[in-house]
Amino acid sequence: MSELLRKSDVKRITGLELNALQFAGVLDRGVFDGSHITSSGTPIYDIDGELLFYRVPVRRGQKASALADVAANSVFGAPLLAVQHGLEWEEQQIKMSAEAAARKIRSNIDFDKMEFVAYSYPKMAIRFSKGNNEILMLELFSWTQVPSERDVAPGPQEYGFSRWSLVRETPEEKKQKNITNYRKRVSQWDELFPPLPPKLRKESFKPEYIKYAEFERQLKAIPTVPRIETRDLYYSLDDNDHHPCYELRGQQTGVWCVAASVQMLLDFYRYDYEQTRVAQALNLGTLTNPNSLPYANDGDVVTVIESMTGNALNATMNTNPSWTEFRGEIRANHPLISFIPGHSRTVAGYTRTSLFEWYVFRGLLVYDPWPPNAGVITRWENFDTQTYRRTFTAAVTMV
Amino acid sequence: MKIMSETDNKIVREEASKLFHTIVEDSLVKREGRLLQPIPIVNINGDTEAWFIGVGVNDILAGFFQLDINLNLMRYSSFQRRTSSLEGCPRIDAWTNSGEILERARKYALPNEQLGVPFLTYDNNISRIVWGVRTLIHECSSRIIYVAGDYVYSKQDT
Repeated sequence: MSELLRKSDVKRITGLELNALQFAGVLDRGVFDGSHITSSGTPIYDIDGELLFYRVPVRRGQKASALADVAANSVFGAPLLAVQHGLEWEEQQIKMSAEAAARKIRSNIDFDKMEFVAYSYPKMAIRFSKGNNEILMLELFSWTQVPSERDVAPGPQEYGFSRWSLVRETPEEKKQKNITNYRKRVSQWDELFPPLPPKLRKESFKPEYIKYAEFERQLKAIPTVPRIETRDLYYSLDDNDHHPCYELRGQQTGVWCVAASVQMLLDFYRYDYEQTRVAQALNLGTLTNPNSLPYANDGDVVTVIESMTGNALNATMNTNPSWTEFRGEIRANHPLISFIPGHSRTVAGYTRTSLFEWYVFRGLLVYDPWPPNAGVITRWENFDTQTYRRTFTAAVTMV
Repeated sequence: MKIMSETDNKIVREEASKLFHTIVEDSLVKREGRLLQPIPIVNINGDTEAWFIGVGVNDILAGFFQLDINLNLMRYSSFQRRTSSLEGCPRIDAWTNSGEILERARKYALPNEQLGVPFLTYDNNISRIVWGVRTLIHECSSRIIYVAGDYVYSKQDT
């Protein structure tokens, strides 16, 4: 058994995680601010019987506003698993519906226990048992009988309707890593907001209440300054009267990622070139006979940006890209062309969430011309998992 | 931790499932999106280097997660050009159905070229995901045909 969270801590830890996410701008204040965690929720078990997580209802006044799933097992490496809005969760009512559905399948069903199980995480079911024996398992809300473990292999694209044990299938090594990460996170919360006996709680901060202003007030008392920064490119530096302003261009051949990246950058500055024309300037051949840009010719990007804008843009190549550069350029409203080994894309935004030293995420908004003729928008690319080889920036030459 | 077996797909999907709730911002995808079966992204030697987990809405591929071999998030990428719109996004089958991918490679191949089983790989960089199909011509020369959505090519072309 690898239970990580005591039932008595569920409300406090859930509240702290939700307060932090709301403060970071990840959760909508319109939905969450002023809400309250009233109970430790419903325990959800693995099919092998271990407690996996708690499904915790979040209420605003008398109304259910959201559900938070909070981990209690080492198969998870962080306390908060998921937050869902607009889903009602009335445990007793669900159990009554489940029992009615079970009696339709087996009118004389005899059981002494009903429990919620994640039969194929995150899919859930209700298990009816007598002693230690399972009598029936019905999928939540569809009330379809969940087949036994031996059944059907998954289909070609999705998992079939079958059960499996998350606990059994999580490698031991990963569980150990999860335990370390999980305990670290909880102990860091404990350090900032220690659990207090009820007597002392009257006057103190109550984490189970999701209140932006109160959480902000609490953070002010903590030496580490909380910071959340996110920025996309806009038409100008005045965000208030413009929408984000950047467009994706897919590369038109398998090797024209640089041409597409340069095209995106020029588009931003209102230079309307066909990709074939940009490719021609970079000596990348034609649509029917395309070439890639050799590493030795990286500097051509600078030359082409400047020549295709009649030197109205002053372009720069950086051979040692850093987070500071990405952040600085986006804050100056400049898109970047980003070369990674073997590929080129553009960067049009960033996010950095840092509530405490241990709560940091750095991400880039990447407009990627791959796959050809389509491209994808990546929000967010984890900055700490990528290798950056070159960046190119451009600024309008001022007179 | 190096994940190699197919059964571990479930663990990959579970990781992606956690990320889905926190990373995906588009309201349509949040509401109607579902995670597809993880597909290993292998290098030319067949070693798994990353995982591709599609996010589907009905039969449309709205985006995908890419996780590294240690299941760290590498990125969430979307084919959507506009919020709450799937216009222009590819069909799921175009990116996940190996039969369809093989068919596209077959149309590209020479008449006497024998085709192998498609595998998800990358071209130059792990972020340039593409299907590869090994081929054999006259039992003496071989090549790989690459299929990236509707775009098909081989290295000899480029």
